[in-house]
Order: sequence, then structure tokens, then C-alpha cells
Amino acid sequence: MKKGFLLFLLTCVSLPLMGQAKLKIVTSMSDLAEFTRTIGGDRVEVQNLVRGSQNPHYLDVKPSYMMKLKSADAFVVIGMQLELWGQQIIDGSRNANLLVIDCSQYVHKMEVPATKLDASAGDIHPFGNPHYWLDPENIRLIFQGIFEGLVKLSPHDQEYFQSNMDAYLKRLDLKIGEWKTVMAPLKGKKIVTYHSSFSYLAERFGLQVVGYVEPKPGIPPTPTHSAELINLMRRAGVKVIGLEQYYEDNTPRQIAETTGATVVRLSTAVGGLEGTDDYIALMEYNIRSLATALK
Amino acid sequence: MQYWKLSFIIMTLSGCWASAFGQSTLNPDISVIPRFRIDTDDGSNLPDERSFRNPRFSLEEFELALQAYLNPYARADIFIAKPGFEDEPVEIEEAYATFLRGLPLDMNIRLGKYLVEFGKLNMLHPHAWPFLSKPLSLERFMGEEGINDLGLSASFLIPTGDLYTRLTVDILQGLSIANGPGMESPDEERVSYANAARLMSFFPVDTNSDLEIGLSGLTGIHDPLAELRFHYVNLDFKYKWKPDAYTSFVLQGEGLLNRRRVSSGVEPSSEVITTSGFYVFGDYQFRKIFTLGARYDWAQSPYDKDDKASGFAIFFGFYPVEETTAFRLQYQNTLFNTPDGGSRSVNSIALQFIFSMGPHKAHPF
Repeated sequence: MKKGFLLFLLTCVSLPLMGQAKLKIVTSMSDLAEFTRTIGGDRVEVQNLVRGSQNPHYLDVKPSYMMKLKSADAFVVIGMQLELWGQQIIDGSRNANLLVIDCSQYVHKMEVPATKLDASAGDIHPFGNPHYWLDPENIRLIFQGIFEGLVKLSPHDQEYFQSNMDAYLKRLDLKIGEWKTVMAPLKGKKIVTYHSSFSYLAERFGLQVVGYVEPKPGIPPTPTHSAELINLMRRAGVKVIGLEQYYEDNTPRQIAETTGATVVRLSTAVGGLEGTDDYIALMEYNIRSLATALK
Repeated sequence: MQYWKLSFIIMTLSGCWASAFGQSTLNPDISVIPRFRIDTDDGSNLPDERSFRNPRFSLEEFELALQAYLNPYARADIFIAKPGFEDEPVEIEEAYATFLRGLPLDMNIRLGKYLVEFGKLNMLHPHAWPFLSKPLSLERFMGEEGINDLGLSASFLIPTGDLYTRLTVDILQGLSIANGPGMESPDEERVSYANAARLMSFFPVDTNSDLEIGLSGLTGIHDPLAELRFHYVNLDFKYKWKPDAYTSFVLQGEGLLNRRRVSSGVEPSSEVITTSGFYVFGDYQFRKIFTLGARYDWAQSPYDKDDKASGFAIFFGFYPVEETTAFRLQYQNTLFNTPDGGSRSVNSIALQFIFSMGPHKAHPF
């Protein structure tokens, strides 16, 4: 009888504590960290690996990242082999219960290679271009992936997660409408970018990416390719080179000087440049920068 | 002949996997990394007629890596190496399975033949070094092949809060010790096990830099006939600063203390000798594709404290397309001091070319 009472007391005390335990989530990119915090609210504790200013393709496999994953409930990733370093960190974490939420499972993929791949094509991602989060319409799909993952871990919070998600997407839809209005007059305009990071963004807003500063994905610029690109830009009347926050600007500036184009620093991730502290600010920054340069 | 064997291994493995599963996604990751070299030195001439010999082309090593998950709990890594173009034998450099999940205490178990986690550099394949020559302390105390042995390894994460601290312990067959520098040939009837351990901690210093510190120990029988034992203690560190994708600086060093019982005189008596060695290097990446570094190393002989060598090297790296192709140029001066008081200085210049086919993974920090 005494034991039963003690057990009851213990359960009463521990239930609210259990309710307060936050889900520990690690994300590969700052954008995913913001999305997870938005949906999870005060029920999640989020840590991120790649800073906004870093190139997500390359990350040193550090034991400190393994420690973050060791106690995590889930690891949210972009997928499509963007995080080639991810599996080593997962293995090093020794966390057998880790749930990996691969957001690429939920989106429509662009530039999926249709032929046999080899390294002569550069650092091609075999599952397609992984920079899909730069299309704001894809955020709804990414949210769905994170939402399903969080619900799996904490089913009783489903309604809470749903209402957080709906509130954000409502706000985002309004912004997407504004961005479409801003970009509408620029439909069909041609741009060049350093890497194929902005294919999804260009597709959404009707821009045409006609060339890249890299001769092949992941391959540093060469004089021959730069000369070809200059000719192409002159023929096509390209006036804007979009440059990701982490690439060197020597070659793009030389090309811009020769062609009379403008180099526009764009950010591929939240926190990549000043004024891109959250996803809406990031897209606002990219859209306004492109719109100003293309006018 | 050796190449026929190697080709046969590659074709057989590829064929087996392809026919058995019929899906390329289930094939293991196959990588090939050859290291070519052109070098010259002035060490083979008489001291008063010092001149560099004609540069010599050579294939340092051809490495074939096969890596795959065996199941959700374990993965396997096999590295086959063929040094040189001549009759040097094809070697199984490493072949081990690692059990990553499902074990108590989050333990990892490694079984097979592998480069032992002793110090920082021993585990790293030479293509991942920023320089071309093995530091003298490693060469003299661990031999040409390093501590590479058959055995069983268990590693544990030590609960130190957010700090990553790992303890690895090994039980080894002792073959690499028996075949090491100056070691006696093993008596095949006897087994002289060796034991190794390493405790390492990883400290994030700030947003852009990290520090790793490790303490290793190794003990075994270096003379199976006389049952003479040795003990190595090794302290290592690695500091890396990487503010952006185009700039980084690595400062790394190791110091090794050797204490061993050696035969003295004709009588079956022995004495204990203590010798040591160390290296330290810095490597600066100043553009995305260029690195420049320098190394100083010093080491006594495992058997004689008056047999010493010191070296200074400058090395330059050029990586035109990430890690798929690498050119490294190194100048090294090595000074040998012999027990009789003599000394000899050797200058060497070497150019190395490495290419890498396949998805051989990035090496951890």
C-alpha cells in the first residue's frame, strides 16, 4: 500500500517534468534550424552545424559535431548528397536511436542527371540539384517533412506543431505574393551565377541562368572557361552575376569588368550575409538585390 | 605479375557484387589512389663529392580502397596496397570491420588488420599527409609501415559533458612490433601480444578553431627470444584554424618516449634504455588550391641514445581540383649523428603527384 502510494506520487511528480522535456534536434543548415524552431516552438531545442557563411558542400568532420548528434533525437538534413560529410558524423555519434529527417524526400527535384555520371562532369549530385530551399514555394514541403518527423517523436504535440506551421506558412505565402509582384517585370531576364545554387529560385521567378563562373559544378574557374563565359554574356546581354556568399569574387569581378555586368552578392543560407537573419529576410534580400541589379 | 593479381582482385570483386545484387547502389565504394614521385638526394656520395643524383621516377604506392556498410550495424574497410613497379608484393594494408551500433555503452568494436590509433599520424594514410616523408620519430620507433597489426579494438566515449573524449584500447597480435625497426624475428611458436590505448579530447577553441590532444601508450615484446619488453608513451596535439573555405592553418606535433629492456653483452643480462623523438609541423593554406608548410623532427634510435637524427622540411602543396589531384614539392635536410661521434647531412628534393578516383571519404579532423 505504501509502495503503491509512493509510485503514484512519483508518477504525479514526473509527468509534468516529462512533458517539459524538449526534443533535441540538430540541423545541417541554418535555414533548417529556423524551420525546426518555428514548427517545434518551445518543445524543441535546436542546434545547427553549418553556419550561414559556410559552404554546406564542405565541412570538416569534427568530433564536436558528433557530440551534438550523440544526444539528439533527430538530425534534419537537406539530403540529395549535399551533406556528404553527414554519414561520418552520424556514425561517429554512436546514437542508435537517431531519426534522420531528409527534407529532399518531400520536394520536386531539378537537374536530376539522366545519364551515367562520372567525375568528368564535375561534382554532380547524382540525385539532382540540392539547393531546393531557395524556392520559397518549397518551404511548405520542407515544413511537411520536419512536421512529420517531429510528430513521430512527440505525437501528443501534433496540434501545437500544426498551428505553428500554419501561422508561419500564412506569413510566408503573403511574402511570396509580394516577391512575385516584384519579380514579374523581370521574367525572362538572363543571369549568370558562380555555382548552380540559384536554379530553383530562378525557375520560380522566371529568370534564366545561362551560365556559371565554374566550368563544371565544384570545379574552380579557368581562363578558357571565363573567356567563353564573357562571349556568352555579351551575346546574351547578361548584366548580372549572382555570387554566393562563400565564393571568392576575383574571377566574377574580372568577368563583370570585361562585360559591363554587375556582381551581386546573394546568400544561399540564413545568416550568410548581413540582413539575412531569417528565411524571409534572406529571400527579401536576394529578391531585392536581383531586382535592383536587373532593372 | 603483381598487377595481374591486383586487376584480378578488382574484377572479381566488382563482378561478384554486380552479379550477386544486380544493383550498382549495393556495390561497395571503390577508390584508387596512386602516389607517383620524382626525387633526388645527395646522400649517396662521399662527403667531399656531394652532388645530387639524377632524379628518379617511382610509384610510391598504389592504394585500392573498398568500403561499404555490411548491415545497419557494421561497416567494412579494405585497403590493398602495391608499392613500386617491381616485384614488391601486393599487401593487404588494412582489412577490418567496425561494429558501429547496437553494442552496450555505445562502444565501437573494430576487428581485423588496421593502423592502430597510436598518436595522430599513425592512422592516416600517406596520401592525406601534407608532406612527403614520414617524420623521423615515427620512422625510427614505428617502422616503415607504422603500427599496423591484426587485432581487436574497442572505443568508448567518456562522459565529459559536451566535450568529446574517446578512449580506444587495442589487443594486438604483435606482428608489426616483431617486424619493426631493429626487432628480432618472431618465434612462430610463441605469440607476443601487444597492447595499445589512446585517450583523446577535442576542444572547440572558438568558431573557427579547434584543438585535439591525445595521449597514447603501446607495450609489447620486441625480442621474443629473450622476452624483452618495451613501452611507448606518446603525446599528440593538433590545432586547426579555418576562418573560411580558402584559408586554414594546422599546427600538429607528437612526442614519443621509449623505454625498453635490451640485451647487454654476451651474458643473458639486460639493461633498460630510454630514448625519445618528436616532430612538429605547421601547414598554411593561403588560397583555395595552395598550401605551404614546414616541419622539424628529431629522434633517437629505439636502441641507442647516441644514435640521433634531426630533420627540417619545407613543403608546398598544389590542389588544382579539390582532392582529386594533388602535387606536393618538398625539400628536406636530415642530419644523422652516429654513436661514434660522426655526422652526415643529406639533402633531398621530391615532387609527388597523387590522383584519386572514387569516393574515398574525407579524413576526420
